[in-house]
Amino acid sequence: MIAIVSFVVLVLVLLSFGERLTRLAGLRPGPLLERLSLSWTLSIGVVTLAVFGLAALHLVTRWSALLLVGMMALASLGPARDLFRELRGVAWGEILLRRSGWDRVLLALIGLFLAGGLVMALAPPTGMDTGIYHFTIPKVILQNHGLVPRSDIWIHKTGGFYMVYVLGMALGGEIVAKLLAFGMAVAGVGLAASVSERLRSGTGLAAMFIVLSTPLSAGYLGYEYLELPVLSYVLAAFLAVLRSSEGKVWTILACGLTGLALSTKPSAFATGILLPTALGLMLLRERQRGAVTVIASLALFALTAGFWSLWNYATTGMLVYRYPGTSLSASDEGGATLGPWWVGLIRQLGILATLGIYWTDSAGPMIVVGLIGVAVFLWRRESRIAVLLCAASVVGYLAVLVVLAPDYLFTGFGARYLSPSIVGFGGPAAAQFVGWVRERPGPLRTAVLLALLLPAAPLLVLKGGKAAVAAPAAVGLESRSAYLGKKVETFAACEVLNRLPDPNVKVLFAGVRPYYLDRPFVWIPYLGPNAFLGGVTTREEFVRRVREQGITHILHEPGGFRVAPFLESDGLSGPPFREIGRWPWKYDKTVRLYAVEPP
Amino acid sequence: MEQQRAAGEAEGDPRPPRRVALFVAALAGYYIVYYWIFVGRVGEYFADILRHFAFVRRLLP
Repeated sequence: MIAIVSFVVLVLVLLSFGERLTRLAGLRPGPLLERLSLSWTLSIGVVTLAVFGLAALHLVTRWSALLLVGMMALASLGPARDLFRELRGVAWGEILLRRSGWDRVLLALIGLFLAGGLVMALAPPTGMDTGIYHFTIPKVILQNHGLVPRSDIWIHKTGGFYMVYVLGMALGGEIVAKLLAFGMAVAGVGLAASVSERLRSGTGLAAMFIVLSTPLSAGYLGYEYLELPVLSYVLAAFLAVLRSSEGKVWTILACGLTGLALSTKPSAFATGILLPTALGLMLLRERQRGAVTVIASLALFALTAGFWSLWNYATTGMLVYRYPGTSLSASDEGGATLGPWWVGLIRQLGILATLGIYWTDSAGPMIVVGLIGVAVFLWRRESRIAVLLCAASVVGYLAVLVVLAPDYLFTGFGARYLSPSIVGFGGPAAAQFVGWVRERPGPLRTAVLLALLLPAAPLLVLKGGKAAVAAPAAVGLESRSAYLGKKVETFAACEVLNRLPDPNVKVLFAGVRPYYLDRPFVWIPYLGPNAFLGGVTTREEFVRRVREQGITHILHEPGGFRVAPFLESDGLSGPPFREIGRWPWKYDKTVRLYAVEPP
Repeated sequence: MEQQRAAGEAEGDPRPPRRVALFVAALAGYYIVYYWIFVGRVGEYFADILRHFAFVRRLLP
């Protein structure tokens, strides 16, 4: 309940503060949905930078988080009043009920997707990458009151949206952090409608549905991954590009939002295409008069894209810190070549048009249909900017892979990295096409509308199933402990460690998801070599390293691709290691917990 | 953009039957390929869930 109240207060503050920002920047207000979605995204951008500042200064506490939110609330009392008045005046009945049958179907499906996502957002976090690092790093930042250089956890991998998670966790715990991610995704859906309405009037609802019915959105809505925040920033920047003829501030804003997308997930680098687009369009209009705007835009972009890298440089001497095994490619680390680049290129295009290695790694079929539809039927008739941006981001992404990481062209793993660009640019383009087709009865309309609705069916079944499993935990009928105990193989062992009375417990965590551990730990990642075992060649050296680091317990989870011979063989059997717990894992294997006996 | 569209409408219907037929046929073919792969991916996902159920079952007394 505290989490929900905290989140509702945060929603009001973030929306009002965003409204204050747009007024300060002198931006002409757009339609209500556009204003709300943009306000939310701008506020989240400010929160990201402000919390990062606090984290760099080691001032992150519950009190400093409250002070930050309080200051934002104070600064936006006027806009809050106006916004409340405006929301009361909205004819909700008309918007939701007095619509055509077709719009009602879309609204109902949109509601189902959002409801499924909300249930997932209210349940304790179970996402694989969440437990590995998306929530682990914010938790470590909160525990240390700021950023701490570490070679074991991936804290030097730029993750701007982690700062929003830090704020949520500081104010009301993990559920508030999850709800903030959900709120960001909903803002993205609103922004998709806003962009689409500006490309072709009357297509907002279709755009919302198209974005929500992509495997990417349906899969990650309610989870704590970074793709949907990136998507929201992409759509906000796209909106700013579309409005850039209204004033130079929009161009500066577009560049700042693009930077936020990149600093959230650098592997989504294809979104960077928005920077030259925004600057190029502005310069075409303004010529030499645009020089100051270019400088201001680049300065804001450098700040929003590069703040994490500055901290990396200050602490490691490297702007981009690369952890072993987490690079984009195996080829640049001496890996085998999988084939000629052009074969990989064709293969990767096939992957991008269909699916990556998981069912969530896809922008869905309707976006491809929409992009081709605009190209075939509307090329000379309507705005082409969405199609061109999508094409440019795909070409840019593939070109970078061809030059820097050709082996990556053969894997389906990275399809997710390009999805925010494909959905962000392709979603509104597909809505444009659907809007045009809807007005013209005939076989084309029948086929396209069927193709539009079909993707929702399997995704709603999948989302509904996940939400049904999570619902008892989301509404408090099932405890966090019982729910996570069934979902996360190492959770029970983490609980044992969290409950130990000894305040000096320090864990060597040789498992996948250290998030559930509340005690200080050293992580042995599940893939590649690791810092802890660097230079260790014998069991004696391993024991010495364990003692030097003050390790009191070792948690061992089987599997993974880590390079940790002492842990995979019988290195933990016999003194000074004593097994104190054992829990089932998959494939008849077990998670084991060891105490390190004192010398 | 509205003007651009209005001008476009005046040029006539951009839906020659052959182009529409080709587009619909390509769409159908693409959806078949897409969902063929999609079903495979979802199958792998459920196989993993079933393995996970085995883990949950062994938690029970």
